[in-house]
Amino acid sequence: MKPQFFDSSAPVTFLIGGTGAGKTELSLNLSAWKSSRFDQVSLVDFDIVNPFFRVRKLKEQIEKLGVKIIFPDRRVANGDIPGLPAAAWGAVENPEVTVVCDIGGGEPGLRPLGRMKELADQRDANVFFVINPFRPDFSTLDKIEENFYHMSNLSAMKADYIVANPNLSGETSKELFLEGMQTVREFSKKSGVKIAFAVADSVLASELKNSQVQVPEFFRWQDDLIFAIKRYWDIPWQFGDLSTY
Amino acid sequence: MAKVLMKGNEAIGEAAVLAGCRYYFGYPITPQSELPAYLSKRLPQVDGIFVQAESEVSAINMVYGAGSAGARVMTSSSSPGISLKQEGISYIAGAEVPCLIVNVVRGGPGLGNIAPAQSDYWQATRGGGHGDYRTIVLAPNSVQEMADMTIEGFELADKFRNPVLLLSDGVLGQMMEPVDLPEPKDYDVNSKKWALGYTGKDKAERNLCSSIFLDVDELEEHNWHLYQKYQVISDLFSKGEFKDFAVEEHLCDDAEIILVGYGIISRILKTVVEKCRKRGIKAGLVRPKVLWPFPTAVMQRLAEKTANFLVVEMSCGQMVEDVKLAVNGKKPVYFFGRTGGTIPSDFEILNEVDKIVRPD
Repeated sequence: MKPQFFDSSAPVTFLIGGTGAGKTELSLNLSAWKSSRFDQVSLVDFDIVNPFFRVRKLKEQIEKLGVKIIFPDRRVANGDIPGLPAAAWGAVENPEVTVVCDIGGGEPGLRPLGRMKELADQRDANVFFVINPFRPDFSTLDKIEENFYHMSNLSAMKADYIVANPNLSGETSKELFLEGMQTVREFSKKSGVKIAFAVADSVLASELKNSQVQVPEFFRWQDDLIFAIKRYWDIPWQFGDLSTY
Repeated sequence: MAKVLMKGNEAIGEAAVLAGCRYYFGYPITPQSELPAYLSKRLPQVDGIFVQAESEVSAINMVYGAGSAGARVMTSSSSPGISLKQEGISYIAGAEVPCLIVNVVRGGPGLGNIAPAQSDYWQATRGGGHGDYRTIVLAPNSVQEMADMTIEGFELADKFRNPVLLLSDGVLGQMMEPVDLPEPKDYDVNSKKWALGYTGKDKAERNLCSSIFLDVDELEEHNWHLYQKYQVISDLFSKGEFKDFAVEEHLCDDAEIILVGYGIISRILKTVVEKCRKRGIKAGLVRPKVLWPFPTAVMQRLAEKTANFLVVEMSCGQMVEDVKLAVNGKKPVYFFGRTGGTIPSDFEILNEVDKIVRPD
């Protein structure tokens, strides 16, 4: 049976999951992809915990793609003071706006999401739980199961879909990707939560597709839907620019 | 074990557990909080003890206690928190208690900011506390080395009965890379004959771990004893068994200019060296992996044949003083630094190299 894929036109998307699952990279790519299809796209940086590698560091790059970034007031934006951007509610409420919410910061970052729940339900939000089975907390079926339900409960949101993001950063081979997919598929089968799509960076995605991908793009590969992404945090010192750390 | 994708802070936590560390005392501060967060979950799984103390001062004194009892113990913080720990570190060094202290450096002075920096070099290598003492200072440059040097740090601490400081920075703590974790080591808490908790058969008297020597002659004797221990450590790192562990040399043999940097900066410098070579500039790299004892002998040897040295740091210039001491006026030592959380780009550093090597 072919898997059922998600509705890519859903107006509001929440990305939840463990720290380092790849939510921020995915949110950047997903909002870039949506901005080529919808008029008003906003990316909400909900990372109230981790002060490094946040979406807001890439503000200029992202805004060039036509995506509006919403994050806390600039006076505290570089701080480690938890702050939720008030404008996020306005964006999620507005039927004209397509929204991607990057919920960073692992467990503590998920807690404030409950405040969003009513609004999210009103707009039929898609909640994606991103899983990288090469992270220590998600490396076995048992660990995935424990953390999936624990984190979903913390956020007060029910994950509609799983996003599989099996990777070891720059060391991701096709074999490794397939090995990771196997683990995520097992969990999907056990939990009954469908895999919406799998994430692959441009190098791996081109290998799978057998031709150069145009990131960001979705394509079908065997029984899966693959989302080919650009890696915004790609080992930056190789390019000599860590200023966006 | 198979490779996993980890943050630097998490890798330190897991490596500590693998090294037999069962006690962590600390207090949260950005950008190192993932480390206590990780251990708060992980230590109870291995019958370890995690305590979030009421302050950094309490935490370091708990480390003093657990280390004195013979346990493998650690604490961690970021710059302002490490300042608070200095009194305890001085006591620990005076009482010769092994422990691991991790500093994930952020911008200073004062509260500064939470961005990465290397401005705690002096504090780390000179000792931020009072008295004649030294701490062994390790400087990793990858998530893998955060793990490896954590394990090595516990070994060195026990070997020399001395505190070991792991000097990292915000980027190393926060960034994610694949890590190959080693197999766990057995550590016997009853293996240290000097420890308060030692209960071996050959034990006759009670042990005491203290840094108080009220008699002037006794304190002077103790000071010279510590000094001699530091000399032994220095020798072992410059010509003994830890020589290769202490420093990385990259393309130095024919270099006309040698770039010197530690930690995350060394990764950028490696890119600069490659780009220099492509442009016909013979550049090399020296990366001190151990900051105290500083690889003075290596710098002295290279100063005989290399024309120029360029030290790059995320500070206004601290390690550059050690390089100048080693080069001892034989060759010019230049400096380039960025501060406040800005990480220099390879382009900026290339410009500096150009100014030195091709001044016209």
